[in-house]
Amino acid sequence: MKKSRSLPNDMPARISGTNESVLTIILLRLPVKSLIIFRRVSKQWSSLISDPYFCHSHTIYSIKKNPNFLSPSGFFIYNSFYNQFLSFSLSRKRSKPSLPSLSFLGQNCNILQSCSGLLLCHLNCGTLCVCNPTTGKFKFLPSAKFDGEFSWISPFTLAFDPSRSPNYRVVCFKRIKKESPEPTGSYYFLIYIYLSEMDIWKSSNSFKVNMCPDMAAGIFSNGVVHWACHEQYIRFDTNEEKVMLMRLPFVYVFDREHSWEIGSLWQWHDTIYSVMKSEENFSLHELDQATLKWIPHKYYLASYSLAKAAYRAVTKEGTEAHKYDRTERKFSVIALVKGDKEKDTVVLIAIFGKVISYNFARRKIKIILDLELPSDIVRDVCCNCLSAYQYVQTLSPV
Amino acid sequence: MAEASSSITEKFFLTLKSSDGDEFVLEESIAIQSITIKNMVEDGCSSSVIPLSKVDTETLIKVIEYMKMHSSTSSNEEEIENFDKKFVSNSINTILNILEAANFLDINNLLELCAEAVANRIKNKTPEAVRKIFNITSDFTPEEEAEIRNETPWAFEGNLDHSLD
Repeated sequence: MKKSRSLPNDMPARISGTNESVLTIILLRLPVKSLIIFRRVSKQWSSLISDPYFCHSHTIYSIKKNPNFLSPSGFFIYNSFYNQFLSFSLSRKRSKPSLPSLSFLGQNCNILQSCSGLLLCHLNCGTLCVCNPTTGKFKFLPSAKFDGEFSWISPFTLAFDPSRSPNYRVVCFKRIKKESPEPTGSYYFLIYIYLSEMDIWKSSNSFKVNMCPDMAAGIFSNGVVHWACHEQYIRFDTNEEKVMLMRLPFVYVFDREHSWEIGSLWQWHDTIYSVMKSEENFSLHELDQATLKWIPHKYYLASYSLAKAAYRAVTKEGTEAHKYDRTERKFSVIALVKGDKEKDTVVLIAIFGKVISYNFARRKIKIILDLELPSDIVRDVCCNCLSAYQYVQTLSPV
Repeated sequence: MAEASSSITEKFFLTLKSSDGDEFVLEESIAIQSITIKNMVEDGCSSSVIPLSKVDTETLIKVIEYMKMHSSTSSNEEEIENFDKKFVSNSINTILNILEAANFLDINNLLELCAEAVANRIKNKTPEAVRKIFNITSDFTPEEEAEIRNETPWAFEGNLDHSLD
């Protein structure tokens, strides 16, 4: 009655490895990386794992099993000085897994934004492209036909929430002329939306602000696109297509001399932060999604003490000594990593040619990436040339 | 055990026959966790022996063990949890046999338990090991396989598990 455990080679393939419905039940439970590898098993496995319906189901199933499934597992760091991408994993494992290479995007491509596993990119020729760095799949968006005489257009923002829909939106707004003559100090804007399921652009509502926005890329969470410009905070609800204008918790002071970076928005998963940085300080507020109030984060960074601590951490690593003066104190905070508990939250800071993580609560510094820069450009690159984009590992189809 | 209620209600028994010809007598209330068997009972096909041509004896014993443990009255949650944990520590070949039987017999909980176990066992394996486990012959040319590898070289870095269990 006891049967041999090893299968001879002329045995037929197992039902569980070939019957699509049974195999799907197994594959849904595998991590993304295993599935990427298992595309090599057979043509059937490969086509099943690449199927858009399966890919979307896998994301839904994984979110149900692990609510943090869409938390970033690493960052792509773009160094505009060298037009070069670096990356690092947030994994706590000793041998850190590699992030996908972005080389498939080519040299003439910028990342505009990262959203729930997809990247919105901008090619030098002007074309927009949405890609999934995990699968290496990408799609070029048709160019929008914008009306009106003004050429000013806001940054494009990707709105994608795989837990609600496999489809995504790309949203932007463009200045229009609504009244003639134009009232002084008021500017009208029309919102344009790209719908992935129909592969078209359409125009939506218009709104009015009292200054011409000058803004960084938007972010998306909980069905809302968030833009910040000066002290203005613009919310666009992608489901109801409604615009809401609010204020950031900071007063805008333009001061090129002291390089204030004000009013930029950050996110970690569903949490939205507004960030203020001056030469001396860095502070952040968290948006309470229920009341739409900005709650000051209890920690802030004083650049002097940060620079001192970073200097100690860097030199202990055996790198060359930096002159420790006011100019060397310059740093840029490039991203935030929210921990499970508040005291685990860290900010990623570029300083002294390294990317370090700084834990507010524990005042602990860890070096996570050496930018390997020649000493004459270290300060410029660390201050102005780095941007970070979250890497979220999913199979989401584009 | 379910003695108390059975003094009033009459117990019904079914006979299940494995592909090896062994017969197992099982209480109907336990056996109908399998939707396939339940449908047969409702269609009146259960008066004689139910032949399960796709399930061998070794697998059927395990499936019956599972159904007995998971039938509502006899076991508490902790017992079930411990049982499941031990259950999935069987060899991957055995679990796949059970998974395929659970699919045929339509026992959803068992199917999911086995699928989860199989996924856990194979997640760090090489494609070659996975092929051997499922007895799949690759239908890729070496060039096609290299192409897939080159699409996502980052995924193939690091050590994978070559073992078959």
